[in-house]
Amino acid sequence: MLNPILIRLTFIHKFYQMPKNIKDKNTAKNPSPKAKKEPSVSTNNLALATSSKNLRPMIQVQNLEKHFDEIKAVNGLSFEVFKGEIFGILGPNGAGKTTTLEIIETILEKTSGTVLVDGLDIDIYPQQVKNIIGIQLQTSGFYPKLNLVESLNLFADIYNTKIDPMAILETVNLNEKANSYVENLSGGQKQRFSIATTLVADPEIIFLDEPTTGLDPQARRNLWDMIKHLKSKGKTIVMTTHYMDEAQELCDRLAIMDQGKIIETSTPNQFIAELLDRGFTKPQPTLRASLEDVFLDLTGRHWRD
Amino acid sequence: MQRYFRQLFGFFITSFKALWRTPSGWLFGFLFPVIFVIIFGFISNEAKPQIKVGFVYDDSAIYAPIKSSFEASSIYVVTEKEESSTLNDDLANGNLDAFIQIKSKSEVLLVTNANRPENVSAIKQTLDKISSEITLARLDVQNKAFVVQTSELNSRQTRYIDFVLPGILGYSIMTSAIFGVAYSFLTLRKDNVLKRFFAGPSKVSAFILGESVSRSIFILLQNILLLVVAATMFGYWPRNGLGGFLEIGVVVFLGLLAFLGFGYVVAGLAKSDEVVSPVANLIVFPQFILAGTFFTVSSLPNWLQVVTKFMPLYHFNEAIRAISIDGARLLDSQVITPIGILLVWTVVVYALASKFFRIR
Repeated sequence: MLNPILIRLTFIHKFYQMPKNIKDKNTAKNPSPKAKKEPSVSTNNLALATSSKNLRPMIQVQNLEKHFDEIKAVNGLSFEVFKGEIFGILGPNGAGKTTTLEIIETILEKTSGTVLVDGLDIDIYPQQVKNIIGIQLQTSGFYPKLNLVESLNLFADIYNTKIDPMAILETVNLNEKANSYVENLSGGQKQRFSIATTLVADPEIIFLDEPTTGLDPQARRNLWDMIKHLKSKGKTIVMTTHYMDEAQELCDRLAIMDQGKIIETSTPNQFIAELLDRGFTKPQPTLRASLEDVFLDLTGRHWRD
Repeated sequence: MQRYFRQLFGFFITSFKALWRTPSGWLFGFLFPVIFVIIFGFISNEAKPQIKVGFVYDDSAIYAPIKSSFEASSIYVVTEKEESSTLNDDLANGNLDAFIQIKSKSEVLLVTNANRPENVSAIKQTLDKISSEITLARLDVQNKAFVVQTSELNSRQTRYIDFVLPGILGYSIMTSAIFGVAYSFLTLRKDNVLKRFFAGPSKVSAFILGESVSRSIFILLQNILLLVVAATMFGYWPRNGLGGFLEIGVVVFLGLLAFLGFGYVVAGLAKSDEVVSPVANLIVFPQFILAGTFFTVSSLPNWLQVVTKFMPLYHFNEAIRAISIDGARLLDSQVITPIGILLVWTVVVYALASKFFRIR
């Protein structure tokens, strides 16, 4: 048990030196004007340059590769996720997002590279890592013929923790479904329940793989609130999504992936600012309200089933 | 340790609840075997099986012609032993209907089961016929070739149901264990349930053990119902009464653990639903046919008998029949030897199961 602590200490020591490097890298890559634009519009974005002392790397991925036979699903990824931020991974289908997440989640063997989760090498301490992460899989089934409370209690047994199942169900607004079997829930309810199971062990890091796919706008917004609430409690969140508005709304930093590689990592606002700097303009002026605003105005914002 | 047992118990109770709440599990595990038992229970009251006659080996002149005449007839199944005492035991246990011993040049002893008088007259007629044939052949009509002395033994009456019920029991637990585990496991894997469990700190052994114990208990309960039906409708009763039932329960539990292991192996090997059935049948079907479900292994050709000795179901059936027909106890070599072989199978099969275990 001493080793993981020692390793953690080493990394805590390391990160105090790291921000400088990051800053250097940033300024080296992007000459000054773009970098200056960014913080002024930032409300929910982690201000990388200013509050560097709070940066503690929770996930460090170095040269990660995963080959399925001839196909390189993940082809030399390196990135870091810091404590308390929401880190989004974007990319078209088949970009390698889920593969990357599953490797960090210790359910898929990598081909090469190193992954540290809260300073713990997943090759050496998979069990310790499993205990500090919460996982919502893109498609996750649950043990059949169990009601929601029983299913949560099973996860409490797996993680060896004490839980209040009703309180957890309350956070995803499923307390009225407590006695239903999981297989009888609607798609959106299943998705919410899946997120509820990530909360069982009160993890430091939460992985959400397309958490709002298939949800109606009400459920989507409510889940956003839930994810923001988790962030406010100091949790680190890594998520994938195909919805750009969601990424813009929630994520402090984004990695855009394609064909197993990260094309670029930045904050949402900086991405936009850079694009505008390259002379990009939208072909038509944006309306001041979207159709989704209309929909929500007419149908309300409360949970639906 | 506490952690491990909490997980184990969690998986156990989860699996048991799910089994309990699945009606199709009840149908396969209970109704089908009961239908089997009812059919065979009625058949066994109707059918007229062959008469099993034992011979004590003798080198006198009349021995060979008598034995070969019995062998030539299709009503008889003939066995030959050196000692009359072993045949006596077989008769007492109901494994034989009668045995024949040459007393002197012209005296033959016929020992029969007092509870099966219908066999006695048939055997006597056959013996008389042989006697007169030999007499005629000798051209010495004055002296009969041999006379028949009879003696009766009050032995246990074994009916077909007594033989076939252990077979149905074995078949029933084997199929429900292997198919049940293989299909549900594949579904758990396909629906990413296993992925979710093992993304958390789940232990493979806690999961498999929890599942196995819960399924063993569930299938055991179904088979207690099966035994109750057999006992009340057809008077099936092990030699040692309730104690015998208890011992049968122990063997069923051990057999279940072994067969469940095969289920995990099948689930590990099968990549999709369509493959489960053929792979499982590859294991189930030969044993069902050959390992003594409906007829004794001794009626198979020798080389096939050797093959059956490698089948776990054969040893399971041996142990159950030794308890229920011969009245052997759990620690008698007749029972403990097949149990030992079953345990070896269990170890082998769980080693394979953990090798093939996949969460995706």
